[in-house]
Amino acid sequence: MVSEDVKVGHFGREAIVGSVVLPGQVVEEASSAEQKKVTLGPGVERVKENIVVCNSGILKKSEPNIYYVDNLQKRYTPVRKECVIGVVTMKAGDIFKIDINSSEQASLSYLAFENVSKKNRPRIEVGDLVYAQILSASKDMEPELVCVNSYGKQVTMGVLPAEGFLFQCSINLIRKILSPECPLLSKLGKRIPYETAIGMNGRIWIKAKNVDATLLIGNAILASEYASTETINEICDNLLKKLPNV
Amino acid sequence: MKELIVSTCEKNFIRQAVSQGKRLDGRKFDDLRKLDIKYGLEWGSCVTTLGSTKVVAQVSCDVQVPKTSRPNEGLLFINVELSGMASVHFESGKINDAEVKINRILEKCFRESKCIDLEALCIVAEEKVWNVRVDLNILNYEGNVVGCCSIAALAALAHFRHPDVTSTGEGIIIHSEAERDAIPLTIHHYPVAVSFALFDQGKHIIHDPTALEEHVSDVQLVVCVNSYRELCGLYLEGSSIKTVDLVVRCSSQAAKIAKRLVDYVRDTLQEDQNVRNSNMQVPGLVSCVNEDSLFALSQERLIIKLTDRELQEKIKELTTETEEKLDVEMKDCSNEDMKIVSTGPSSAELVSNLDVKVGLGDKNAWMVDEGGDYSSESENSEVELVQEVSRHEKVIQLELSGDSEEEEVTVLKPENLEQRDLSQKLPKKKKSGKK
Repeated sequence: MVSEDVKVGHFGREAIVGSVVLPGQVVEEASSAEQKKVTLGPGVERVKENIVVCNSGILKKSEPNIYYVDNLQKRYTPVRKECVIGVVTMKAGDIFKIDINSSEQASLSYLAFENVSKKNRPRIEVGDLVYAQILSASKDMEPELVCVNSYGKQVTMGVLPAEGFLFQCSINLIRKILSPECPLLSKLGKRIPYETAIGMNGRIWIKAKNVDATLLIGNAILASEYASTETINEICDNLLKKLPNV
Repeated sequence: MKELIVSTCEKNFIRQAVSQGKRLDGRKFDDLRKLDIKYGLEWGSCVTTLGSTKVVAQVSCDVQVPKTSRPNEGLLFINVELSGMASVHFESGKINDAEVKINRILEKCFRESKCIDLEALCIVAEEKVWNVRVDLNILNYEGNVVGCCSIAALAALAHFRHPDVTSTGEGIIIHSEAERDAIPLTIHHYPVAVSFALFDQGKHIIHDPTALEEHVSDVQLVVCVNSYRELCGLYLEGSSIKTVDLVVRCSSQAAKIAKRLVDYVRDTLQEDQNVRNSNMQVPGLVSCVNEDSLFALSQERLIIKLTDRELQEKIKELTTETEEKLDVEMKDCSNEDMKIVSTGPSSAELVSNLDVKVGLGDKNAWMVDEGGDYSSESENSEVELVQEVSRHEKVIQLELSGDSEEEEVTVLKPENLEQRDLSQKLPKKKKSGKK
């Protein structure tokens, strides 16, 4: 957050893009944009003719006219089409109950996998990790997950192996390491072979050869939260140089 | 959701790491997380943080009718609240098992160990006694909540003062703080709960476990000990312990930790007292809710750390370098009101240089002459003294045979009569009782 040069201390009626905002502030810029189409992301709401902030955090804008509030929270708000990592908490007849760190548990049908039928069920146990896509996310219903894309293919989704480690981080960090400009994952991958699954619900699963390597990758990812691209490079170089036998 | 959801992959990984002698946050098995206690403006309020576990304690008192079974004893009530704020898996409004468990352990630790002189809280026997209530609110649940709660409760109780009372024969007068100085509670000993997580049938003992470690471990053991190595309570959860000496080993380790923790609590209390005595403005809890800091009350984000010290330092070096760069950049922007402060490995904080004081209130003047009458003097001397007594445990025995002080009897063994000079160091109460 520091590196992005956040302005602090302007808590008037108007919410300014790029500064810390509080619920109730009005995004004048978006409200007055008459002809243009405005897209509202998380943390911003329409109240009558005004666009009002409903979450505290940093107000961000991306082109064209997309407004959202970037904040830190423990819970995840499900969004359609996002890939998440969930933990199976219950097997209830035809569906699995999956914890995706949202207020309500998501449901995953046993038929939402590739090559399954009523006779050939997928092998999933309570406590397993699933990498899945959110099919529906609505206010009044529990989120629904699927492990296939629209062509019925599993691609990268499905049950994750019971090895490796799962850790939590902020959604900002997830966005950061998934962006094409971020050299972190590829840089690490050149020296240490590892598998990873990154869920938009702030969960990262990593599987490397041993505990040390897994911890190293985890540490590198978490350490890069507030670091610039150069620093990330430096951190990676130094970590890899010092690591003896991975 | 009733409890923390942990996947099998996390369980396997933590067990594997522990068997290799590693912890996720880079601590050694017997390392504790950073403890911090901040006291509020009011008596008996404090915020305690242990790593990222955070507890707010507030002690309050009111006058009540005593129990008929103990007509001349005050009441002590401990209330623990685990709301949805602490962790996503707690539902507010419902009483959950964790809450009851913590409450029970703390009651054992404080009420049943009789660390607080409840008789001193009696105003009129059978009619009016002080009811001391400890409220503990858990703000963040990140493992070892019991330990954090016990430290918070201890610090708050030791910090607390109740108003002075005079009896007129017909009724009682409760004096406000302006009229008479408030009276601190009499605390006989300082107990704390120390928790352990045991792996591999007790082969690996982990101190101050995080929420994940607690959940994955075979056995969770909570030992309540005071600073004089006296056991006040024991709580065991999970599978049974198979080796005989494990509990003994754990409790002797707990005793060492307890000594350290109690010393820390005393130090912070002393610091707070010094600030209050020195006529300075008491910072109160405002100091931890810093308005001009972006990361006020924020959690530590780096949950995974490397054990390798060299690596850690390297990362620290790197980040401080970049911070310096950032600092320069910031100055170039001619934004001199702000500065960046390093708050640990790979994190920095934007802090305003301006002395913004919002809601700090006025200086309190009435506490100036309240000096070292009780607190500083007696507390300090008590520390040294009781260590000596415990060393000569067999020499001096104190027998309390009744309620009033006159009936106190001190028994001295004849062969150790030359050690009577020790009694000069005893507090006044014990001296007067010697006949």
